[in-house]
Amino acid sequence: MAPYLILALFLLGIWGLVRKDNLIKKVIALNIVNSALIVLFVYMGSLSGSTAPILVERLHPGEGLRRLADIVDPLPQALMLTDIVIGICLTALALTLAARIYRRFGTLDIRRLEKAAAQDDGAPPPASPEGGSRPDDGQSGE
Amino acid sequence: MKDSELVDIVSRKLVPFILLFGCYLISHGHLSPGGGFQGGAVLAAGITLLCLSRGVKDTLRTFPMRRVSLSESAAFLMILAMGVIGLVLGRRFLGNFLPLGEPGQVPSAGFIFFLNLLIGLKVGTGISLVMFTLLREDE
Amino acid sequence: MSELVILLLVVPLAGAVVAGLGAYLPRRSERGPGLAGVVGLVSLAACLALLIPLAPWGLAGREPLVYPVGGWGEPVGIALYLDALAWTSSLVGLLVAFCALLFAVAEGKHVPRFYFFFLLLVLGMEGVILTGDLFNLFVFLQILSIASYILIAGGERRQALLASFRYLVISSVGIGFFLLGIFLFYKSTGTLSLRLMAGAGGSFRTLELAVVCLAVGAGVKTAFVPFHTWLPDAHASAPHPVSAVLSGVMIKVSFLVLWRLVSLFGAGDLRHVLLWVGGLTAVFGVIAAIAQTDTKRLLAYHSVSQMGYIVAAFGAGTAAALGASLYHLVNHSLFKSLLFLSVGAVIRATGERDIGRLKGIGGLAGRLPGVFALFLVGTLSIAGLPPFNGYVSKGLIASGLQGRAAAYLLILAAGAGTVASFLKLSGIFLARKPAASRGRTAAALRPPPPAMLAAMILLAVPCLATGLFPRVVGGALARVARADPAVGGIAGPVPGGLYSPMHLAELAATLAVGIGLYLLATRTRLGDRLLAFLRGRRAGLSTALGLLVAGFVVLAVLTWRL
Repeated sequence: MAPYLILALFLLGIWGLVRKDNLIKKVIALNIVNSALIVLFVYMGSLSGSTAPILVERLHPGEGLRRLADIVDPLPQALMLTDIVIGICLTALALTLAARIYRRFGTLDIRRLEKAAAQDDGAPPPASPEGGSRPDDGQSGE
Repeated sequence: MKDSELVDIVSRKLVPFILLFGCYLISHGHLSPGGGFQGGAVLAAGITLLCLSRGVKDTLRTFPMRRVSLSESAAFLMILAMGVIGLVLGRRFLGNFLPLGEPGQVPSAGFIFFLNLLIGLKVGTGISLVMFTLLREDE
Repeated sequence: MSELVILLLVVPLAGAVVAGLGAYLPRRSERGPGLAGVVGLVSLAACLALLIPLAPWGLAGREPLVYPVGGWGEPVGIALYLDALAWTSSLVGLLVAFCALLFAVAEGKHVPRFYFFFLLLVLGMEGVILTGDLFNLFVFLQILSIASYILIAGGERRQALLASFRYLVISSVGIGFFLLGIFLFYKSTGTLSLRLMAGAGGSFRTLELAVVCLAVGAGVKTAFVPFHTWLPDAHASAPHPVSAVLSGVMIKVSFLVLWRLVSLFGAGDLRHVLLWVGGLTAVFGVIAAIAQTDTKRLLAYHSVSQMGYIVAAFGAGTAAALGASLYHLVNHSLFKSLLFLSVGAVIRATGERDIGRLKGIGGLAGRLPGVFALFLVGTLSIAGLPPFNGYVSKGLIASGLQGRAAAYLLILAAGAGTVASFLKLSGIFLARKPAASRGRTAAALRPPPPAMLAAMILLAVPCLATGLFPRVVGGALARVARADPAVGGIAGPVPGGLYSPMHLAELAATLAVGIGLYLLATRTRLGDRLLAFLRGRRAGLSTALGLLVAGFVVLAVLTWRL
């Protein structure tokens, strides 16, 4: 059951990335994708046991080997910590980029942004050509 | 954000405890769940709470930007230095060179303790800087 | 001795932090940026120097040098491996990074933060090359990527921000697939160490799916079709030295990840798919390149195309083809970065990036002779003319693909297209000054400082060298490729030698078709309209992501069915 839910979360994130036009919503969707992967790893680690992976004789007197069999796999947890940190960096970076884009372009809508960028480059915009001034690219191809 | 007195007062009472809890997480990282990153994130959360309730400008008076930034770089350089000390002393890079001590005590498990402290400092200051930059209102 | 391996990682990191500290010098101080740049150069030079004593491991045939970090052996700890492949790629990567950094210092307009992230990029690159642990690979790949997002966003035009965002999103999704692949690997083999994994068992199906996921992740960063959409914008909008490093190093390193993983698990079906993917990418990239009017976008599409060559040769799987693939990888790093730097010098000198406008200025060959000469070296290399290195590696790839007619033809077609588009690009130098020259444009040229020229010369010399000594270089690289465990057989000498009638015929055919294509594309109305149409077709971000997912599905299905 759980893996299917995780898969659903992952696909939801990807769907959000593709279909939402607002940059901030795309960042949120990216976070959802990342979270799905994190949950997947942690879930897999939890399958092998149910107690915390700490083995100190003094803290748990007499349990020793019996605990060893029952611990959660510590590796995926450690990996996911790193992944969470990376996720934070990426989100911060993406949000900062979005803020700067807003300041330079005036919009957060990806379609209008791409149109503006294409016009800056002098190529015809991806959608149907708009009226109004377009930078002269008369020397095309020659 | 700055207008709610209730939030302001409550957060001012809470933040020292949050910071303390963060330090606890950092220093007991080798004994119980927690560690450098987790504790650092809690530290940053405390500082963020301050930003949210009092505004970034006020918070910057207690935690000046330059000082926070310099401590972040300093913490990082010290982590590198600890790695290199291991290298110089004949063990591998990031090899342990401190005595192991008794398991279960706070000063034990070699230099993991110090690494945790440094990482906690770095993460706390790093995320706080990110929050300062994102939450600033004067731009 | 093995300590030197970890120093290859520590030095760039320390250099990055020290360079970054330059930001804390007083604002007015002019020394900050310059100092940071020098720190960067010194770090990279130190790394290159570190490679010298490690050279014995660079020649294949020795056991790789293993360095357990922190003294923890595998599988508990993370180990660094320095084998021949790692040494060679470090050498090329560091050389390209050094020259690009020299160029950046000569430009003189970068803040200390730039050098910090640049060195962080180098650290990421070294980490990916050297690590022996799968998750550590992921971490270093992310470091590499994040540094590149930031560096790209530092470009001058506002499109750089959008390009960086698009790249961030697409790359993150790709690396998400990579993480999925890691999950599947760990689940089936129980370990993350690359060396131990190869021996461990595991369900075949799961392993295959894992390799496909990893291939998608690495593929997004290597930018073969259909994962290439982020590359043209990103490489075109980035600052010039960054473009050089991105094209010259980052996409190569990602391909090396693919190489290592596919080799370890011998996923033969995936290789076959990659052969086709490579061929299609090569042709597609070149077609898109001819259509471009922006100099850097043209070069960027060429990066896509040339990576297609490399991927196709890798997909062919024979020892000869693998050696050729590696040869072309090395060569492309050298000449592509040289091209980006020389075009960057032109853009800096004139202030224009558009081919048409540059032609309008005219007479650049005479006014920027040094840059022109170096640009010529790069162009002749990429077009595949002797005695430059492109001729050698393209010839080797063609020989390696002898058995597979379709891929062979695709590669030859791509070669012709390369000639055509570089004829178009060279036009910026060869156009004459218009008779009624505006006086002000004559004064507006900013000649490149000597350090910039030095950086480019440092890249151009190896281009010539690796072309003039194909036996030495080719032999060494073939041995490196042969160390690949999945490859059987010996890489024999090039059939008939490199200047055999076969190869010369290929060269002549490529040139002829290329010139024909150029004339067709640029001098006819049909060509004009076709090119304008191609130019206008830009993939939006949503399309790009859709392509990514579709690509994954297609790859998975194809690998499972074949």
